[in-house]
Amino acid sequence: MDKYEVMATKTTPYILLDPQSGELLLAGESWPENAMDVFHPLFEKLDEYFALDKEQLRVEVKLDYHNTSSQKLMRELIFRLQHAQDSDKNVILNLYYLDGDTDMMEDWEELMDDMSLDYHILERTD
Amino acid sequence: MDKRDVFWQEKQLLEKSKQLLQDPTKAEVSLAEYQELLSSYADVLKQVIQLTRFSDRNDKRMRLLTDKLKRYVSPPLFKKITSGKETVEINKTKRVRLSIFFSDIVNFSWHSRDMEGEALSAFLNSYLEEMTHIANDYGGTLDKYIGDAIMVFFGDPVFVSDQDHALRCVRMAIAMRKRLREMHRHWYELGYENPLFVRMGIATGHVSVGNFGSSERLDYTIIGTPVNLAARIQGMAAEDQILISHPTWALVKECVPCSEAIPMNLKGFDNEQLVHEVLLDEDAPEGELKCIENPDLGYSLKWDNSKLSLEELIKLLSE
Repeated sequence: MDKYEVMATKTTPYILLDPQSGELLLAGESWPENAMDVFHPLFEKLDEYFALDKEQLRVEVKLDYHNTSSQKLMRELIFRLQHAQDSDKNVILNLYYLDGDTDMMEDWEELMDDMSLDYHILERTD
Repeated sequence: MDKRDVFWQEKQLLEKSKQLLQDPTKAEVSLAEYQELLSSYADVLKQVIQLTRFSDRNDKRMRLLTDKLKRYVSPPLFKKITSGKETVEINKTKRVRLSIFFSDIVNFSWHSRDMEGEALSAFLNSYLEEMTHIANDYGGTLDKYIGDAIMVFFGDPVFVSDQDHALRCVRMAIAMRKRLREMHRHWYELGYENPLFVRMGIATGHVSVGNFGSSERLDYTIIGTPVNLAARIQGMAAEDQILISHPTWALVKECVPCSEAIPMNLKGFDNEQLVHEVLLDEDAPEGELKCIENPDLGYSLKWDNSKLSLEELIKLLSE
């Protein structure tokens, strides 16, 4: 599997899924016309990655802003990660919120409600 | 089912529910199927609750951000931008006739020489706060603060008539001067011995108004000779004096008593410019003092309309 990298645009995030380092990064803003255009290809790549029999995936989510459709699909992403963990994969999820943005912190807390995934909600100062 | 649809799973669930009911081979839905549907519905509801809260928080974020940004632009411009009427594009300018106001505090550097940084900013901000409040009351577009100087224009984005913008501009200047006199007492009590005086200048003319700057940073401002004229006139004003250009005077003279034209040589202007001083005593009720004059026909009349109506005046003159 090749490295999957999508450069950021004004309305879509930077995405990097690196099978070598076992890391997935989402950064920037996500408010496209159809959020599925961003997330569907990523879900396909994730399926491909987990099919590689890799043991670990570290997920870093550093979104500055995302719309409601993106939040819905973030929920689906979390479900997929949860499913991978339930299938004995080691998934580490770090969800970041901007310095002082307690609303985004709440967004992540609510999203992770009832999940048994190993996750951290961290403050960003960059 | 199109898996590129954000709601494809929910639509799939709905379709499955319909099929269960429409299946002619089934007399009734089994308990297991019902439990599965119920569980799916609970998930959907949970998702709806989460997303509604998320959306509300995003709305709140947007509202707070808008409230912060609001302070950086004048109310008429803010209204225009947020209503979608302003496209916020560079090189989008138009040529219109406006009235432009400039003021600055006489010898502000001298006044501020002994002030500490915080005291100076508190002092300056209290002055700017009051003046801005008055500019907004009169519907002016606050263009910028330049230290202690204020630049306001009238007639855009909201235009009624040339007389309307010129009159509102002059009346704002009168109101500012009045408020400043009240503030003298307040500052004196706070320990500032020397009263502040302002110089004010107004000009009316055609300018280019719109977005100037770069694609990353725009200023909604005005450019043109009347802007320079207003600034130069203001520079010539004495303490507490309001000077206006001849075109401004022509628009307000029926309502605001002014001096005869004073020819002035101004930097940057080849010809002498005619300037008038606003004479209205701002302690008199605004708009009550009426004036009719025509030097060519040899008459000039001023009267207090609150005490004598035009009809009564005509009757008095004809007696």
